[in-house]
Amino acid sequence: MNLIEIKNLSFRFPGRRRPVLDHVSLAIQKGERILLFGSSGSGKSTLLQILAGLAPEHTGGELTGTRRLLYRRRGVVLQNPEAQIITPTVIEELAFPLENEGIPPKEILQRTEDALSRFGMTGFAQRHPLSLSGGECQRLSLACALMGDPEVLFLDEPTSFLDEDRALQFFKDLRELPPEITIILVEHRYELLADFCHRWIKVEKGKLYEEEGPPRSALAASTVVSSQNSAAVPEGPSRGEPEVSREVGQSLDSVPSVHSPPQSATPLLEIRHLSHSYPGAPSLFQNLSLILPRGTCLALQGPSGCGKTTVLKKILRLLPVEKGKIFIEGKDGALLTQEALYSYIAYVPQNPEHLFIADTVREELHLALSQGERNSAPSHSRAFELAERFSLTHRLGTNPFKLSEGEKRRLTLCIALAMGRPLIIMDEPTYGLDQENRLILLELLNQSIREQQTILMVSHDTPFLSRLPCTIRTFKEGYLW
Amino acid sequence: MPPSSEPQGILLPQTNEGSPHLSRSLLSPSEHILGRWRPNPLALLLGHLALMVPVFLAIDWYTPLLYMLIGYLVIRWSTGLSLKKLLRIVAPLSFLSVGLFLMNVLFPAEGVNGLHRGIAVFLRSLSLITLSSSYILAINPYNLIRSLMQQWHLSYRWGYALFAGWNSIPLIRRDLELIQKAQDIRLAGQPARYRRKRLLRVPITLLSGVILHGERLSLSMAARGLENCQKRTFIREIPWTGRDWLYIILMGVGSFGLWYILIRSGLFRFELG
Repeated sequence: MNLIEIKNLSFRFPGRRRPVLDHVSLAIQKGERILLFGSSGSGKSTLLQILAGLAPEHTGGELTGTRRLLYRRRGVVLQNPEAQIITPTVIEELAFPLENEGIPPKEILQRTEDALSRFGMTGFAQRHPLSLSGGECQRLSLACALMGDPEVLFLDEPTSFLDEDRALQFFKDLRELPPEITIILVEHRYELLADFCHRWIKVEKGKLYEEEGPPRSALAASTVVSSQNSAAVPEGPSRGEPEVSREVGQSLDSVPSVHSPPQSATPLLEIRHLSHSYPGAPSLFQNLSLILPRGTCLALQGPSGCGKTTVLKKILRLLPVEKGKIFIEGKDGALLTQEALYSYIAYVPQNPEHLFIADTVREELHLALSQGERNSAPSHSRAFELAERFSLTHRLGTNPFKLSEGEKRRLTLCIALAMGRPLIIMDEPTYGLDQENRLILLELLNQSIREQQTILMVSHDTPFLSRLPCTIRTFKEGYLW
Repeated sequence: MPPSSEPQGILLPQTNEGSPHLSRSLLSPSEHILGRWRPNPLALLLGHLALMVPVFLAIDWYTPLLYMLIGYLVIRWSTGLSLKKLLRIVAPLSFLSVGLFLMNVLFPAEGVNGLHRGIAVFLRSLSLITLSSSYILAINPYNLIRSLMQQWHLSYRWGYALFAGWNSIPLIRRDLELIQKAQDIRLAGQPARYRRKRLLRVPITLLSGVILHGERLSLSMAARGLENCQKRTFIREIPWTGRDWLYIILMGVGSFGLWYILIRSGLFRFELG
């Protein structure tokens, strides 16, 4: 018997002429585990919301055709864990769906205490959910989704904010759920899904295509690569002078190989004995040193709150920095004017909207171009070339805020690469990117490195990083490994 | 290798080792300061409103001073709010009172002693600021919203939207910093016209983020069944007891009784205009 059934279903967002989904049909049975995949903006999340009964009821839009949802209880985990937090304590967050069902408080407390214990969160019960790390927060979201004993679990990119180990653990734990729970998920990191799903449904241009097997992941082999490389991690923590770079790059067939760049005498970015502690808290990190010559790439990893974002904030002057700690081309960053310091940097924030200034994509690219010219970018038309490569040329007249999440992310990358500044700082650059765009980004970053641009990024996407000539360094308990 | 302090698995083996005190503390959240009973936030609100009415109408010097003192003592007794904490917020806000004072002194109405009126207006506004600030500082905003839902039947949807809004304040502050920095970096070396544009763009970007966050939160609430619930339960109840009734009755009688005495003794002055 089908648990979910849609027939000839079409869905259109308000104010859009073209439907996101166009006369699609799908039947889902109890216990099935289904992956919805496809390019960014293809309508996967919308389909998931329709199947979860959230769209159009709570999102607006016009739905035509037949939809039969025969389950009574559902659990939903959305992309951004921060945007799922409603209450001020973890225990109330867990209790929230049960309170909505009108279950007596005593029973709710018993069930929440069981869940806290089951999910290893007993110590967090009274903490504010927003004080948790990204991984803990997403774990809480999964726990909340399971609180009401759901028949169907809907997961929309649940591992976006998790590093590879945590993401693998997340799927390992999903496998341990009772087999009668139906799971429908959207996920770009196919390499994590080995043998998890029973059905693979591609969403493309408003249609659904049932595939025979899992989508071919261009980055799949990298999991193996990264695990092999992990043996090279030094045994002890690094303090003071940096250790020898751990080269984990391995080019894809389609990506030109990258040669070691010529090292100039003065590194582009140098950090000397940097320490930081927040008021009333123990030292976050101490005596941290890094050297980034031109044409190199460094990725910082580690659990949330470990200090990787703090390092970026110090470089970007979001936090005060003392003299003699951060040097750009041999000049003390603390002594440079803000204007002078920033003229070296292109920054890709985690939220792409933070970067937008102009009213259209075209203006955004023009603005990046003029900066590119000033900084001697190799080609004046590079931004438009990039826009073409990232499939953004058909959106040139669109307001950047009206792009889909994937398109916004692609635009920020276009802008940063086109600005032609020597140091590109990126905060989770692959978040929200599909496989195809991850590959394009990979190629462009390789090209930037060849052109002597230096890249410093925070990224949990180990498979992606393993395809770059990139040094990965991990924060753990105040040490940089 | 430094030991990992975080649990490795998401689904740990199920145990019965709950924390028994946790249930108790959540089921009986009535908070006490130094062993004293603490009023329900709504009782505290009504009590404070009773104090504010005479101050709002007074144009003399004694009424605001007296009610400000009573208001602070009541809050101090019932919630333990320290004077230092109160002064930290009242001091900057008192510039508004100083402004009103100067306005009355420099531009007095016809036939009115500007200095006398200025002091009265200063004391009245300072008293209102102190009473409202002391209330805001004394209560837990989440408890106030819980009370509004539990006692005054505020719609659950609105109540939890307020919860989420309150949660979002630090996120908005963080986003504002990031937006400013991201745009400063982007516009380094650009002509001044782009910088002027940035002034307008920052609030738009921030607002867009807030709207998007709100949409996601709304979806998250709907996904967890808030939209369909008619009568929900609360693991954290904010009780309304007989003591709360007694508190507002005493506050009402005390406030209006004192007002009556001040009127009878000729100390209370009220003027229109």
